[in-house]
Amino acid sequence: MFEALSEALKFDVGTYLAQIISFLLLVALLRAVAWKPILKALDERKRYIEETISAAENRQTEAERVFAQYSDDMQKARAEAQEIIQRAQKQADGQKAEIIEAARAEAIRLKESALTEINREKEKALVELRKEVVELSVLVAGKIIEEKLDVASQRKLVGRFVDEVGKLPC
Amino acid sequence: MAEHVRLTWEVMGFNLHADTLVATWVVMGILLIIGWRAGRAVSNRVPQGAQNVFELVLEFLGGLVQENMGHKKGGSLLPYFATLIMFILFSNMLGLFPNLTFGAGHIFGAPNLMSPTADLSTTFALATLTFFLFNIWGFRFMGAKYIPHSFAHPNIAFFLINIVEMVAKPVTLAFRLYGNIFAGEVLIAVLLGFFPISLGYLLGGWMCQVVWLGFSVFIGCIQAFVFTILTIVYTSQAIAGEEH
Repeated sequence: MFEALSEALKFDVGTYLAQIISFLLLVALLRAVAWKPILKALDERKRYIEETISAAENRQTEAERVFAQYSDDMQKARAEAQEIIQRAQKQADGQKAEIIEAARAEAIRLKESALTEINREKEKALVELRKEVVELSVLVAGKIIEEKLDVASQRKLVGRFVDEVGKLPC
Repeated sequence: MAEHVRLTWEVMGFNLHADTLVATWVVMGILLIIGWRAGRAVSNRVPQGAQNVFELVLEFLGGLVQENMGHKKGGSLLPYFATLIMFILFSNMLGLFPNLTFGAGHIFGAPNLMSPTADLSTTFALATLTFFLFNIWGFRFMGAKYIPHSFAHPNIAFFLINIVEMVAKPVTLAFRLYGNIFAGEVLIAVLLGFFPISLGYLLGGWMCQVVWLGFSVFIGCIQAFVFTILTIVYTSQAIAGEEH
C-alpha cells in the first residue's frame, strides 16, 4: 500500500517539463485553431448587433420624420382641395345667377320685340284696312253717283247728312 | 491497483510517466479536434455545435477577467485561461472512463483510465505556469514597484509571510488539483474492487459506483473552475497596485 502511494506521489522532472511544453503547445495550437477565430467572431457579432441596432434606430427616426412630413403634406393638400372646391362652388353660384339674369333679360327682350312686331303688324293691318275702306267708299260713292239723283233723293241725302253732322260730338 | 507498476519511459535520464503523457496527448487530441471543428465552421451570426461551448467558456472567463483585472490587461490572456479550464476539465473527466485499452502497451493498469491531472508532475507543471504568469504580468504592468508590492506588503515586516505566500500559491494549486482528482480515481478503482462484476454488483453494488462517478464529474468541474479562477485572481492581485 505504501509502495503504491509512493508510486502515485512520484514526481518526475522529465514528465513535469514535458507537461509544461505540452500545455504551452496546446495553448498555442488551440489559440490558433479555436480561440482566435471565435473571439473574432464574437467581436464581429457584437459590432454587427451594435450596427444593426443603430441602423434600425436611424431608420425609425427617418421613418417618423417622413411620416410627419407626409401627414403634414396630406393636411395641406386636403385644405387646398377644400379651398378649391369652395372657390369653384362660389364661382358656380355666381355663374348661375348670371345665367339666370341673362335668360330673364333675353326673355324680356324677346317678349318686347314680339310685342313691337305685333303692334307694327296691327298698324300695318289698320292702314291696309283704312285704305280698303276708302277705296270701297269711293267705289260705293261712284256707284251711287252714277244713279240719277232726283230731287227727292237729293233732299233725303242732304237731310241725312246734316243729321249725321249734327250728331257728331264736337 | 497496487499490483500495477507504472510504465516509465527512460529519456535523457528522466523516467517519464507513460500513462500521464499518453493521457495528456489524448486530451490534447480531443481538444484540438473539437477546437478545430469549432474554429473551422466559425460563424459570426449563429454559432453552431462546439462553437457554442467555446463561446460559453470565452464569455464566462471574459466576464471574470473583466471583473478582476479589466479587459485591457487581461484580454490577451483569455486564450490561456480558456485553454487551462478546458484542459483541466477534460483531463479530470478522462480518468472516469473505463479502461478500454485492454492492457495495450501496458500503459494503463487501473480498471479506469487515468487523468493527466492525477499526476503531481502535471499539476505542478500547470501551477508553475500560473506562477510565472502572474509574476511576469506583475512586472509587466508595475515594473520595479512589483517587488515591494509582492514582498513588502503591507510593509517589510511581512517579508517572510509574503515569501511563504508566494511559494504557497503554486504549491496549493498543484496539490489541491492533484489530491482531488487522484483521490477520486483511487476511490473509483477501490469501489470496483469491492463490488466486482457479480450478483452483488447487479443487486446494488453499481449504485456506489454510479454515485461516486457523478460526484467525480462534479468535483472535476469544480476543480477546473477553481484552478482557473485562482490563476485569474493571482494575476489580478499581482497587478492590482498599479492604479493606486
